[in-house]
Amino acid sequence: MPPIWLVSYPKSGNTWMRLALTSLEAGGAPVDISTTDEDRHGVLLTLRASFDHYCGVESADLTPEEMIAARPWLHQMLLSEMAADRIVKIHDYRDPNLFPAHLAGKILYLVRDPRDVALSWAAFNDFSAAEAVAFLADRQAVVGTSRQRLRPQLPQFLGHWSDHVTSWIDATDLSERLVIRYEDMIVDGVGTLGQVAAFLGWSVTAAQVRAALMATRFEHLQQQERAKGFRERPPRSGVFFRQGRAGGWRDQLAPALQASMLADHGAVMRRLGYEPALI
Amino acid sequence: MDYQLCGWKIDSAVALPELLPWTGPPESPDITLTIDAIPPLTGVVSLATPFLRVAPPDAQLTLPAAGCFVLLGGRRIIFAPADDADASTIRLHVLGSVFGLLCLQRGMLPLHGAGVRLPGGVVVILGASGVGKSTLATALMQRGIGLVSDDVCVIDPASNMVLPAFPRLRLWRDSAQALGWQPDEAARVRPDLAKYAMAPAGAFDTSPVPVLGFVLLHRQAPDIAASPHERLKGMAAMQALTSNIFRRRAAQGLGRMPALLASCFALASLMPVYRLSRGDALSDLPHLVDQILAWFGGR
Repeated sequence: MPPIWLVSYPKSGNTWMRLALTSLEAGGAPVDISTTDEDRHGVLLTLRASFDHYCGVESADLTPEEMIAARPWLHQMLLSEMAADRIVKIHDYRDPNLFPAHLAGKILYLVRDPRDVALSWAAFNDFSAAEAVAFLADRQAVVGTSRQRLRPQLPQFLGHWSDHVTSWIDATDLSERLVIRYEDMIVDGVGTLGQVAAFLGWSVTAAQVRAALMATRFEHLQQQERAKGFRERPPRSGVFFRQGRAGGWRDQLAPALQASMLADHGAVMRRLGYEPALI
Repeated sequence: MDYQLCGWKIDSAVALPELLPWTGPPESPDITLTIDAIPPLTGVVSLATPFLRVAPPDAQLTLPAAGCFVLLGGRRIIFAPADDADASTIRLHVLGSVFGLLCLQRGMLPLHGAGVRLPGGVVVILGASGVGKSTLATALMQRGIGLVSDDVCVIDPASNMVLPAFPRLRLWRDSAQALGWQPDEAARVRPDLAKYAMAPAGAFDTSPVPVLGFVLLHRQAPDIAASPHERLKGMAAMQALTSNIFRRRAAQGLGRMPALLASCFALASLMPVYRLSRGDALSDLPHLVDQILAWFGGR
């Protein structure tokens, strides 16, 4: 059985879930944000160093298109060698050539209200909210690509936020899949994380689930980041563990941008319960 | 045209202006690069990737916008250009991936690192792509330190001497500008990458130089209280070298790994290996340069 895929659009709780699962697997033990990243949980398929190592060339001498062309081979290479209990972190749009069903273990898709994603993405990149809203609606959106400087990760296609969601949750060739909302982790952490554990086939007690949630409370993660830094921290400014709340958009996103996001993503937002259904 | 590369005479049908012309005696070349139809690999394939096939003692590289290179036993290179081949892209790969494989085939230890010349020998700055090796080497050059190699530093395990490659340094646009260098558009290493080549000023001495030591350049997440720069011992020192063998899987495929591990072990026990931590800020550079000079007695 291939490894578990932990998939989300960026800024949708992927890191938080990864840390919670790391803690839960250890029976609710404290987690160290600085040591778990590329270890057992949160294995990345997109590190330039592994591309160079496996492909045997200098990716620094290749264009983004040339690197992307070799990613299906690299995924086959990395995923077919990996143990079934490892968790792979994925932010890409689901292109079946890049993420074929036969390399997929269980798939956990995390989703978050795109209005909060936009605010978090703006802070992470030092963008304005309007720029972040435009990015989420950009059908060509790509991260990790630059012809100006060397990026530590390979180019990853994200596309339009709504398309990202449906590319994963509507794919008919993927069977074992659970969709989890970031907001449900906040409102009902015990129930939601318990549901994830059951889906993964982990036998855990309610006390262990509570301990894992306690170990990954936002204040604890923020405190660790303040004390020791965090390797995923944005290069420009700010912090990685910023607010960790749901619904911040209500008072932080301008009404015009809220309306624009509803126009861009309304259908998928309604499906996920982020907006009342239209009658 | 005859060039010199690591002391070898290379007769190349592709112009390689980055290399120094051959000035030694008119002996037969150590390496030839000819343009011809690609012969099939005859050995047993030990490694196959989208770009590289290894069938010891030979190897084949297929690189977009350049073409296909077959390297026969580290002595003959046969090159078939792609239809859309671009001269600068061809040179970039010849001086990068092809060069690295050639070193492996010729029994050398190629390390992923920049070599700088300090009094008494060469310090090799090791580290992953993008960690800032070339940027640090440039900052050292701005303090009058000579360059021995940019991306791949070649050590002859028989003598533990560095074989200077060619006088070229490559920087991405952001690093170049941060160092106060306005790159010339003509110096792009590839038409579609903002990475620029420059030739260090002054004469380039190609005679072998002893190794003085190694610096593993390591990037830390922003704001982590800087861990002290430290001397690595034992396994950590050994790993700093082995993890930076240029193209470990190719070395494995060529059956060179046991010998290279032994060379790394010998070097790591004979020479100091330090870990140097940098943050994201380029304002760290003078401090990093000072630290290297302090360790290795440069002035």
